[in-house]
Parts: sequence; structure tokens; C-alpha cells
Amino acid sequence: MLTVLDDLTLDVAKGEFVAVRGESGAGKTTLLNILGTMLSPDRGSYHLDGQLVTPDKLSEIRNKKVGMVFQDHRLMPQFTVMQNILLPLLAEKDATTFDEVQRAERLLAFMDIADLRESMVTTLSGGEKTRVAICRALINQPSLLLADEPTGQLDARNARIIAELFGKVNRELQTTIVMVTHSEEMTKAAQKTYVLENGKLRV
Amino acid sequence: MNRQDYIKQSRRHYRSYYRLVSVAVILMMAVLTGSLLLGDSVRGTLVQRVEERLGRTESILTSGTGFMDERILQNDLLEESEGVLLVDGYISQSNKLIPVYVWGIDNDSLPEGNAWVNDPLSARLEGSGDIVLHLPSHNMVPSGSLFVTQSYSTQMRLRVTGHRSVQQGGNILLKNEQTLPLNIFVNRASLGEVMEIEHKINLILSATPITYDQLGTIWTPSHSGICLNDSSLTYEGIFIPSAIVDTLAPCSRYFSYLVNDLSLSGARTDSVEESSLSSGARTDSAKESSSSLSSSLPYSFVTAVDEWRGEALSKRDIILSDYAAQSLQANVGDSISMSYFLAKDLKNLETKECRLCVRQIVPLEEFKNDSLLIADFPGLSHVEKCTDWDSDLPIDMDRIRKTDEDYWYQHQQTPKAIVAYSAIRGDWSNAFGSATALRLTADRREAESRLSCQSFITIISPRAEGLFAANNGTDFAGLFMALGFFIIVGGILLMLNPIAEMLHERSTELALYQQVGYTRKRVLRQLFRETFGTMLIASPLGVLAGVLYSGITLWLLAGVWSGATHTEGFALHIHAATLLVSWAIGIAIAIATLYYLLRKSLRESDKPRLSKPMSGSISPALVVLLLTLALFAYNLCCLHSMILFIVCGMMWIVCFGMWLRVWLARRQQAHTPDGWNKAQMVWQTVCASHRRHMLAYWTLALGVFTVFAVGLNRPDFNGKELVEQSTGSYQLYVDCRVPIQYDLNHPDVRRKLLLSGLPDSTHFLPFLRHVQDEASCLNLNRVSTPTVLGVSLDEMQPFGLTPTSPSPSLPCVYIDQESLTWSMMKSVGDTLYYDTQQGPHTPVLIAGTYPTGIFHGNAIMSDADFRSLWPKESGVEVLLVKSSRPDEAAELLSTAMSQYGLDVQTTQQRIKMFFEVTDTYLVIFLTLGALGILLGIFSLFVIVRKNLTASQQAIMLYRQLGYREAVIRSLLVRENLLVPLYAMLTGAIGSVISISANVAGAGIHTILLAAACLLLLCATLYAGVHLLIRKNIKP
Repeated sequence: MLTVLDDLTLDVAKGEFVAVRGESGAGKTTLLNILGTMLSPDRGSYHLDGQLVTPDKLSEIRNKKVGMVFQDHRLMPQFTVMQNILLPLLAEKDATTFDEVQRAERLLAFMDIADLRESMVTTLSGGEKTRVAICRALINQPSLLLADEPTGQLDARNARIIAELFGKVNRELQTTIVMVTHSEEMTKAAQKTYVLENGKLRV
Repeated sequence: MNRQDYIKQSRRHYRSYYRLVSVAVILMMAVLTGSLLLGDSVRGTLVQRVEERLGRTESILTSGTGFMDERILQNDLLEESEGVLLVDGYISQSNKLIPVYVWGIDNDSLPEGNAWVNDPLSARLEGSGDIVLHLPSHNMVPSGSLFVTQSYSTQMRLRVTGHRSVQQGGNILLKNEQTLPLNIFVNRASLGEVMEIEHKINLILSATPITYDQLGTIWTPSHSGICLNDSSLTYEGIFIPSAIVDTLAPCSRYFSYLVNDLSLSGARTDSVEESSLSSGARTDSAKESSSSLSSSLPYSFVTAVDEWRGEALSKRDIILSDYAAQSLQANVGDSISMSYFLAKDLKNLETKECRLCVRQIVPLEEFKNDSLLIADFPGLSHVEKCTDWDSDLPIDMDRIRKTDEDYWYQHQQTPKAIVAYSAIRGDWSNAFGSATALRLTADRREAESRLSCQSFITIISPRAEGLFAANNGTDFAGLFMALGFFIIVGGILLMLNPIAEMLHERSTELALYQQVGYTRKRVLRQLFRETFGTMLIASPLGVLAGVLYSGITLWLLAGVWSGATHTEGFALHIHAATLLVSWAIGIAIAIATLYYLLRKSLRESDKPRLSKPMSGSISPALVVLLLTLALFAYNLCCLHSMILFIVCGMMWIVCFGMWLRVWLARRQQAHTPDGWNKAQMVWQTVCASHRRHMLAYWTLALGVFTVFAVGLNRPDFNGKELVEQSTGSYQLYVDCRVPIQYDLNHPDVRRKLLLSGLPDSTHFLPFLRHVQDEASCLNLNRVSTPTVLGVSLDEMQPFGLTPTSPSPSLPCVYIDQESLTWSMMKSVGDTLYYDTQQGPHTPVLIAGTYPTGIFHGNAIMSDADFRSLWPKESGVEVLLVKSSRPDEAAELLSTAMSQYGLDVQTTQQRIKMFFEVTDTYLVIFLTLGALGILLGIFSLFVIVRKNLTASQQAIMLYRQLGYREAVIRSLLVRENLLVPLYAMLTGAIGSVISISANVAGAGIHTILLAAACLLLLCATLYAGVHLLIRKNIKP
């Protein structure tokens, strides 16, 4: 059995913006998947909002408490920007409410892409897609926003803009962010940067 | 690594897809090959049956209703021929009638009293002991004429001592039918003796082809029963056919007749010009009046002649023998009254009386010395006393006096008077002839030269006709190709989908090839080789599976599907050419499918994978919907056209296909100003692969529509309405082996035949019959001349036959639509050619059709036309019976008329027999159609699997967004099931629309069965999709 993360402890305070760096294969995505409850650690525990994460409520935690942004955005090509943002809301019910739509609109405005509301995601640029993905991650007002190399496919200018946006989210919405990245720009935006090496974290 | 290695490697890697492609190729090829082999097998079996039933026979010489002298066989030309006396008969066993063909053959090892039977008859006979064979009482005088004996049938006691195998010609049959005949072979001499036609044959089976020219060199008039002397001609059949009389004109004609009464006019006070009486129905008052006359002669032979002693007689002249003159106390110039029976149709007798003037009185000896004045009538001649007469005529024996008996004893049938031929010609002539003797003006040699063998003997080339009928019969290849259509389509879909799925999975690979410099053509070639190789390997297995498929189908046709053909013993005929053709067709389909898919995939690998946005305008869909509803309403209220209902059903499917497109287009463009829901989400996902879903819609909707429409149109054969329509409300169908010469509706006839016990309400509808080929769906051969039934066309209205008169010059027939189309492959307005009394190849026009029912397979002709073509076939051979107590009527008919060999069955039984064929074909279609739909559903599962493969990222996203597994599964089920279920429901509703004309006829059982099938299909679809999703989205 391969040990990816070994005797690793990570404490992230509420409202903190943490960046995790590391070489390819160092276990960054595994760490993110554990934080996003997509994977469970073989040993040890994971507390979120002061509560132990147990296997029985993983879906609910993913939906309500964690938002995720991926490098490849993972937007549904058949849906519009607004629909992609509303997607997490339909995990627990059959229809969204008017208030939720308004919340999505506010997020769009917050990300400065309000005019893309009814665009198909296939027509968006990489930067726009990342913004949409952030909006989708924030729609349920999660306590933790996880991002897996969100600027990996962007040019330097767009990467800077996205980094600023993450900072803005952290500042203005008081959202805790854990981001895995190679980007210097993103690291600069974070309040604390960890390096993952040989399965262990160091500051 | 060379290209071949690369291909092998790829095939191994994508083996799960290639396995499915192989299965699809095998399935498609199996149905194609199997269908073509079935065509070959049925055709081959029919050809084999022709060989079996004809043996070595190359020519058949038949004398029709007449006979030939067996001495004709002594000619060298007929050295390799067999003379046969063939008659229809029946064997009664355990209260059942077994209709048989009786072959009187001249075989030393078949002595008198013994019989051989063929295998099918042997299987029908219970035990192998003694049997009683019933035969029509034939003799030389046709039973339809007036002067015949009372008995219409005779019988032979026989012991079955052997079998005649197929190789020995046991299954000989002169009709072009594939069903095996029931043949019994008896000693020809003893058969002739029983039937009073010694030394006669009516059939010569020749192993060498014979022409009329060759026959003309050996034929003499005596061979056909003509007794030609130096100056006179008589005929063994008594009545000389009018054609011969006309051929030998000018000649002096003689006609002997038994008149009822000769009396001196004036002595009778109650004489009438004409009175109509039925046979056996002389009224009491008539009896009294005639017996009270002293100056009258009852039941005397009178001969009509053209001239007497070289002088022509006028219509009013009568020449009396001195005996008659003395008896009547008549002198020259006195007026004589002569009454006689006059036969109308079915021996409905009229008594006609005419007044004549005594021209001359001559010595009786002069009459006695002229043999032409005397004719031998069966039952009348050669008996000692008048009271021994055995005649079908209603002779009142009380009127015969001692003096009449004395005359008979001394002079037998010597005429008592002579009248002018011109006076009685119309009354005494009958269908069989217009004279009983001729005095010729030409010498014998000239007379002989005028007579031609073609007037008496017809030569048939049965092999050519049989092979034509066998080779052009029901096209089983086409039939089973159509029946298995859905399996072929299912096979193609099953082939198409895995390839498409594999190509989809390899889309990155395809794009990569082009990126590294492969031309599109080269990529296409490489993939083609990889995929086509698999198809090529699977194709011989498909051909082999086709052989198995045809074998199984033939086995089913002999078993559970035997109702379709009513024939056993279909042999599998495998022709290499057929295998090659079916393989080539299958490969061509595979290549076309593959080429289309590869080109499409390569084109799409250049473009984004998302389908183009749909365009769907509501207006055309609305127009089609309104049009469908309007047409349906109009048809329902006014036209009631079945075809239009089917069109409406199809329009419904088109309409809802358009609606689906509109719906999907709208969902795709749907915005979310106020909110969003899961239904919209599902529909938008469906829209993303709308082409795939629309293909699924059309395939499933049309498949379900076709199969269900056929299934629902399957009539309820027990339905009262259907039976009434098909039978004209007649309850019994009676087949008579011995023709009935009476009108059974007449009370006197019922009394005579001991049928007085029949309920008064009993009504008979009689049919004359000229037996030819069976043209019903039971015969797989192509039929050129179906059996003709003669009837008054006015009586045919209840059967849906509307007489028309397209050609006043040609006799017309009406044939049921099914027989016309499938068995005969003809249409209204075509001409059929029958051998008739008017000559060989007499044209008969197909004037119209009637709905398939109780007369299925028969041509209906007006009785007038029938009698003009086949005047000798004057007896009733088919009866329909309507009665308030049909069971009683059936029992009484069977017992009282046992000598006629009546096969009484209910019309419902007969209808069921025909409908069973249609029903079995429908069952086959439904079975294969259901298999095809299941295959279509299975190929849909392949699409679902492909969708799931493509949706893996989306599924992962759902999980990451916090969707529970149950919610994800529910979304996927809905995405993959909505359109197929919509398609099946639309197809099912379309099929109900298509049978609106006959919803009631479908029967509640059929409707419930269809509903159950629909539910089963939906459940199969649901369960399959559900299982696939559970299997493919394991966390």
C-alpha cells in the first residue's frame, strides 16, 4: 500500500486563505479530496466547523459546507451559466427558489460576469469559466471553498485576476479557502502557504 | 510493430465492443440467410412434390366427364402409358367421411376386391382391414340428365392389402397442390364393373410427351364411345354432344324420349298447355284425370326425327304406329295431345303438353326395324316389365295397364310415335347432347375425318404446369424477410451502436491521428480494416446461424406454426448460391453501416462533441397535429377507411416526433429568470444528445406501431360479427362428394330425400362446382385456375359480393382479394383460361373481388355463365345451410343423405381453418417483431451504456456537488428512459388509431394482451436501464 499523506495535520482557521504547494504526485489533490469528503483518510480524523466528519452525511457536507473549484472547471456543457451555478441547489430538492436565483445573480455580479447569465458555458473563455465555477462553489454559501489549481489553464493575466477574485471572496464573504496551486500569483493572494513534500506539510 | 499488429492489439483492447458487433452481424446475417433459405426450401419442397405426385408422367390424356375405350392403350404410341379410371369417392369410417381419389389401375398384382392405399390415407384409416368405398353411380349417362336411375351412388367392399409408396406413385395428384392426397388404388376392371362403365378409362398417364397430332394418328371415334356405321352414328353416352351434331351437319337427327302421355285430343277436358311440377310432385288431381282416360297411352317412348322416309316433318306432325293409333282410336288428321317432362335447373320438372296432328299411321314393325329410333336408357331399357323401371323420374306406376306391360314385353322401348325434331329440340335437348342418333349424309370416312380427337380428349403437360406453379408460388423468402424485418433492423442497430460507442470512446485517439499527420482517409482505412475484419470473421457464423434459423423455422412450420401451411415434410434445401448471395447482402449492409459511421465520427472528431442546437418550430407540428385530428375525425364519421386509419396512426407518430423535437428545442433554449428545476435539467441533458434520442424515438415508435398495429388488427376469430360477415349468416357448409341433382329447398324434394324433418326455417344455398386448383391460402403453389362455384349472384350480396358487368361477351368470375393477390398474383380485369365445353383455354374475366370469407380460394361465377361453360356439371356440390336448429339439420343431412357423401361442417369451423393461416402468419410476425423490438431495446441499452460512459465526469461532478447516489441514479434513469417510453407510448397509441375501424373486432383479449405486452416492454426497458445504471455508476 502506498502512503500518500503521512502523519499530516492541517489546521485552517475560519476565514483563513491557505495555499498548498507541492510537486506533481506529492498528494495535493488527495489532500483536497479528503477535505472535500470525496476520500476518507485511512487513519486520523477530519473536523469541519468543529464537527467530526462521519461517513453518513458526506453528501450533505459536500453540498452545504464545501464548495469546490476545479482546474478543468467541470461545467455542464448542456446548461447555461445560471443553470450551472444553480446546479448544487437541486441536489436536495426539485426546484430552486426565486431568492436562490437572486443570490446567484448577486454572485454573478460579484464576479463581474452578470452579462453572461444566460450564455452557454461552451461559449465562455477559460477565465469566465473559472468565475462561473467559483460562483457555483459559493451558491450554497459554504464554510470551506476548495480549489484545485484553478488557474492551471489560464494565462498570467487571467491567473492574476482570478487570484484577486479569490482574495476578494475571502475578504468580503469571509469564506475559508484552501487552494492547491503551482501559481506564484495565487500563493501571494493566500494568507498562509504550505508545501507538501513526502506526505508531510511544512510552512 | 506493423499495421496488422496494431489492428490486432486494438481489436483485443476493444473486444467488448467487437463481441457485440459480431453478435449483431451474426443475427442480421442469420435472418437474411435464413429467409432466403426458407424461400429455397419451400420452393424446393414444392418442386419435389411435383416430382412425387407426377412420377414419370409427362403427358396426361383426359376425357373430361366422358370416357375412353381402354383399347386405345394397345397403340404403340401409348406403350409407356398407364390407363386409369379415376373417380372421386369416399370411405366412411367411425361416422367420419374420408374423401379419396379412387384410381382404377390395371395391375396384375392388384386383384379384384383388393386395394392399395398411399401413406397419408393409410395414416387416416383406422386399422388395415376391410373398408367400404363409396362411389358416385356413374355409368355412361351423366347423372344430370333426366333418364337415369334413382341411385346416385354405389359402393365397393375392399380389403386393403398393400401400400403404394411415394416412389411407386402413391401420391399421384393432378392438381397443383402441395398437400398430400388421399389415394386408393383398386382393380380397374372391377371398378368399371361396379360403376357400369366396363372397359372404360378416363385418364392416360404417359411417360413420354404426346401431342394432338400424334394422338390424331391413333385415335378413332370408337375410342371415345362413338359408334359410327356406314350411315349412322350413336354414342355410348346416349346424348350426342351438340358440337358433334353440328360438325357432322347436314345429317338427320334422332332424339328418343319417354313421354308421359299420348292422348287423342278432345277426349280430355282438362288439358292444359303447360304446368309446372317438381319431380315426384304430380298432383293428385292430375293423376286422377289421366287415369280416367281410356284413349291415352301412358309413358311411351317417342322419337323425334328431322325426316321420315325422306320427307321433312312439320312441327305439328305426328306419325303413329298402328299400335298407338289403334290404342288411341286415332285416324290421320286427328289431333293428338303429347305431354312430357321438361327439365329445368336441378331437375325442377315441368310438364309440358303439345297438340299434334296425325300425319300418317305406319306399321309398328317399321319403327322396330330402324335401330336409330330406339335408345337405351339406364334403368328403363332391358327390364322385363314397366314396373321394374328404375328411374329418377316421378313415374306413376298406377297408370301402367296390362296392355302397356304387354307392349313392353314384346317391343321394349320401340317408339309408339314419331314427331318432328324441330318441334321438340329446345325441350328435349340437354347439356349433354341434342340427339340420341344421327343418320349421316356423308360417308363414314368423311364423317371420321370431320371428327377430331381434340373434341373428346384433352392433353395436359402436367410437369411444366406443376413446376411453374411450384416455382412461382408463395414467396417465402420475401415473406420471412418481411416477417423478420425488425430483427434485421434490430441487428443493424445493434451493430451500429457498439461501433458508435467505441468510436466515441476513441474520439481523442482519432483526433490524435490527425494531429500527428494521418490523413482522414488513412484513419478511415485503418479503422475500417479493424472493424470490418471482425465483421468478416463473424459473417460465416451468421450464414451458419441462418441455416439453423431456417431449419428451426421449418421445424416450427411443421409444428406450432403448421397452421400457416397445413403441410408437413418441408425439407431444408441449401443452395450454395443462396448462401453466397445472403452473405454478400449482409456484408454490403455491414460495409455501408460501417462506412457511414466512420465518416461521421471522423467528421465529428474535428468539431466540438456537443450536438448542434436544435431547431424546432411549433407551426409545422401544429399543422400536422390538426391535419391528423381532422383526417381521423372525418374518417371516423364518414369514410371508415382502414387504410386512412393506418395513415392517421403513422401521422400521429410523425406528429409526436415533431412535437418531441419542438419540446427538446424549447427545453434547450429555456432560460431561468425565476428558477430552475430537475425536470428542466433532465430535458436539457436529453437535448444535449438529441440526435441519438430522436433516432431512438423513430426506431421504437415505428417498431411498436407496426408490431402492435398488426397484433391489434389480428381479428378475434371467435367474434360473432366477423363470423357473420364471413359466412353470410349461414351456419353449415356442406361438401357433397356425389353431386345432388335436386333443389333441396323444394318441399317435395325434401320428402323424397327423407328430409321432411328439417326445421321449416331451413334454407339451402346451392353451388355448382367446377373443381380446379385450390386457391386458398392453404395452397403454396401459384394458382392459374381456381375452382369455380356457380351460384345466382343475387344470393351473394350478404357475402359482400357486388356483381358488375364489365364485359357482356365474356363470362365473369369474382375472387376473394387474398387469393387473387397472394395465390394467383392477378388483379381485377385479368383473364383466366379454363378448359370448358366451349373449348380449351376459354377466357374468363376477373370482374371483381369479394371479402375473404367462407368462399376463400374459390372463384364465384353466375350460375348462367357456369352452365354455359360446364353444362354437364349440373349437380350441386356445395351447400350452405341456414336453419333455426343447425345441429339437428346437420345430423339429419348426414344420415338421410349418406349416399351423397356429405361432409357437413359448421361455417365457423371452415372460416377458422382459413383464418388460422392468417392468424399463424400474424403470430409469426408478432413473434419475430417482438424479438426485433427486444433487440432494438437491447441496442438501446448499448446507447445507454455509451451515455453512461460519456457521463462519468458529470456523475463525478454531481457527487462532488453533494448529490446523493439515489438522486444521481434517478436523474440518469429519467435522462435515458423519457424518450424511449414516450416513443413506445406514442407508437402504441398510433397503433390503436390505426385499428379504429375495427376496435371492436380486435376483441378484449387481444387488447388486454397488447396492453400487457406494452407493459412488459416498458418494464424490460426500465429494468434494463436501471440495472445498467447501477452497474455503471458504482462509487
